[in-house]
Amino acid sequence: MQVGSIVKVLPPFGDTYNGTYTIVAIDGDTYFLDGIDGGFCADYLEVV
Amino acid sequence: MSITTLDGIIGGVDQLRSYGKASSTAKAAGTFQSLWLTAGQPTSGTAPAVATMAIPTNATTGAFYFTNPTSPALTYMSKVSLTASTIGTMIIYDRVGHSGILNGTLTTAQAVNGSTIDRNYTGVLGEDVEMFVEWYTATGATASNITVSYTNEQGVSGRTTVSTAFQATPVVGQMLPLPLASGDRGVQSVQSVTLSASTGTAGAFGITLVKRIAEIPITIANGGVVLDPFALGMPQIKDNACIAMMVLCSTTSTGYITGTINLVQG
Repeated sequence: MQVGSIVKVLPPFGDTYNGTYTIVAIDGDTYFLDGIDGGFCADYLEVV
Repeated sequence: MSITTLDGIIGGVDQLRSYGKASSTAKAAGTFQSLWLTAGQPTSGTAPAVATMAIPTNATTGAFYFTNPTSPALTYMSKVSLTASTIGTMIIYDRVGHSGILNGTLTTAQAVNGSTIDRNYTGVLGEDVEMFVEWYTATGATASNITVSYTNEQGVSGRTTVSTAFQATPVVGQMLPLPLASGDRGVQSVQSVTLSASTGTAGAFGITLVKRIAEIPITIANGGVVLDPFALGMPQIKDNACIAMMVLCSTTSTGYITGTINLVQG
């Protein structure tokens, strides 16, 4: 996964964020998605 | 038995309790700040020492002390007076459950479990009970999200709160409301908490279950306000209730807050 990758968010967070999102920034192990305030670790993201 | 007349209010057994809480540092306008750990009267509570959900009571340090009525009499809040040095809204609530020592760096589900709440205010256990994150030691600066797995007011387990931005760089005592899943009207118990990313600092936070009793608007600093039985709506206080306070803040401090609460029983 890298900036620009398209991902979906996995449960339990995927229940709320149930679309596809673009990775817009990476800070260490934390990935930030377009339109979502908080970051995610890789365990809760899946490249589509 | 219950109080149904003015004579019942006047003639009921009255317990007057005074309170005064030092000003607490708050995160910002529009945030909730718990007064549970704040010095004053009632004396400050302590941070829960375990992640397991516990049921605090009127005997728990930090709660307003009151004596339960002799059955079948009931307890009501009949008057609140309040003066505060900062504008905001004070919320008086029954702390029907709380947990602590959750870790701001773990991204796996952190177990809570423990007790199901036991004070039933509406006839449906858990109905109208709200869920908040409460910070006892600040977690870190990296923004993440939080969800909580819980059992709703119908006893359905496996429910999940709406994913909510977890406060980056929170202040001690800050409370963050967590929206329940669509259609749910309350909470009976909490099973686990999950963060979407490490905040960078373990800190310590917990889940606090809140049944609101009264809200007192503070529209003028140092001005004072008195709410009588009609303004309050005579909310019932359940036996053993852990009456506590939090503030919906207008700025980065709660201001000094003082006043009295009358509880009437009959």
